Amino acid sequence: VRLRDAAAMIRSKNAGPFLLTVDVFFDDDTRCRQVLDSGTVTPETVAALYGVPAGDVRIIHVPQAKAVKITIRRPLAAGDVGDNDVAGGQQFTPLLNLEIL
Amino acid sequence: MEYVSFFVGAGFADLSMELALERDLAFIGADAGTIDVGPYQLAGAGTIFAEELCRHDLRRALVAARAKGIPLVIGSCGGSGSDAGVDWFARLVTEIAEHEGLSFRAARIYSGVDRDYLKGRLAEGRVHPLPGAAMDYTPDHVDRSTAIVAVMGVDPLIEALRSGADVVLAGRTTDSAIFAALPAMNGVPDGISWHAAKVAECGAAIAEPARPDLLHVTLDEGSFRVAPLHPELRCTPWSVAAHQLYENADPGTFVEPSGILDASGSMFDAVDDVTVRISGGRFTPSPLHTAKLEGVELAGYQAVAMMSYTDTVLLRDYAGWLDGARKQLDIKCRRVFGDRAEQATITVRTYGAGEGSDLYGTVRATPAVEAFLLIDVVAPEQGLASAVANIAWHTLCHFPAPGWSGGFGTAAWPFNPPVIDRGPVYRFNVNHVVEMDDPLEVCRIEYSSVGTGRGGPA
Repeated sequence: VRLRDAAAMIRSKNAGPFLLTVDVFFDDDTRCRQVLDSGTVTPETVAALYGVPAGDVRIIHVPQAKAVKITIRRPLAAGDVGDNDVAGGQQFTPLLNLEIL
Repeated sequence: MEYVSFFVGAGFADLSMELALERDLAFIGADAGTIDVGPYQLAGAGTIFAEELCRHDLRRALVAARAKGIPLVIGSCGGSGSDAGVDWFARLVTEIAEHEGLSFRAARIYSGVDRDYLKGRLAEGRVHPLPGAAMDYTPDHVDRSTAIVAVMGVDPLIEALRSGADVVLAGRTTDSAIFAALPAMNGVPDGISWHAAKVAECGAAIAEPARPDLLHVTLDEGSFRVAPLHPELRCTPWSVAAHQLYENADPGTFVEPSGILDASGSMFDAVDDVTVRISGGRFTPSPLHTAKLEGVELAGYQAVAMMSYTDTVLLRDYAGWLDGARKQLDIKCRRVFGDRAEQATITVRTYGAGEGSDLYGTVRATPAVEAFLLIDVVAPEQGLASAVANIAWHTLCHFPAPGWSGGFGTAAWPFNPPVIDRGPVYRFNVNHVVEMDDPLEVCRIEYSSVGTGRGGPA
């Protein structure tokens, strides 16, 4: 199962000019916990997808929102020379095909 | 206590404000700023919303607030909360007051940072880096900044409200300070006033369907309620909880100048089909007040050009073609400009073919049916940027595809002239907080009487 099939919605946005954050919402928190417990969504697996060090990735569970929040350091500050997604709105796609279960 | 929130420029339905006026509101609050659209706003190079949109929203909010005799509190005026943004909104509000025949006392709170003050704090070792990006911040950064603002908390807003301001036009504030100030001033417990403010800051974006509109907030004992006013919208426990993740790294912890809101234990319960009750937030005051700094500096001057290819022979090895074209481009730039060519940063983004058109360079778009090339040049002077972009356009337009022989082709390009000068571009240059002895030391408040109350032509 790919993350895109398990999740209700996946989106990304800046969290300030220096961080990118991806919100992965599920229909219920049981599904959310299954995905987290599977050990496939970790700083290491996310870092490999984005080509960044694992230390640049932080993952938290937000049970009230049935969601997993993945925050990744931006390679460039928002709007700096060479940036091509100033608000970070389309940077969730590497996660769509992550095999999770 | 009850209030309504919205975002200036995103707007609200007239019906929603009509319904709001039937409630016992203590104030109307609005956020007008965001840092997430990039550094240009703070540099004064434009704003997220056009003047017509801001005037439209401000007029209706101001008329409503004066009709009720309640304060209108606006934070991060002008998109960035720069001093120029405050002055811009002050002009709009003055024009509206004259046209509508309103008169009131206005406070303008500026949070543009005095450079000598900041350099003094740097010398004292009282400017500290925040997590997220390791950046140096030195007196040289201060000097070369185009603009620097300190992000204010509730204290400057409370000072203005206590001084009798009917309309508060604040520079850069935390989003939640706008909505926490008046409740905190009136003795609402910090946990409630800050947590409600955090939930309120995006207006009805927390509702379903998510669309810009007024959010109605009611503060109770030990909890608070949120509901949209428009009958087509509703708040659900999930819609509200989900929105708490928006544009932040951790929806459980929010650092404010005067303390930390812990919302990790938030509980969201449906009151009815449209209303959600929220509880569980805790606010811990900090003994030391800090203000986050936001600053930008000139990165250079930009010129851009665009073109596309549908040539399947060229697209068969697009990466090889682009590599050859870039080498040719470098040779031509060096021939014309010598060592000066190195001052120009050339970025060629390809959409629809090849690799790495996204921020992290992970996109793989093969096989391609069309390649769109966005050429972007940044240089210390506009003339150099424009000339290099011109050479880049001409080179990438005609560079031969390896699969053809006997001449060169031509790309499709949409605009003539093909090179567009974009003027100055900026970058963020600080990710730090400054320690404050007094929460008002980073701001300057000016009061004025606005409007004659007589009305007249706009």
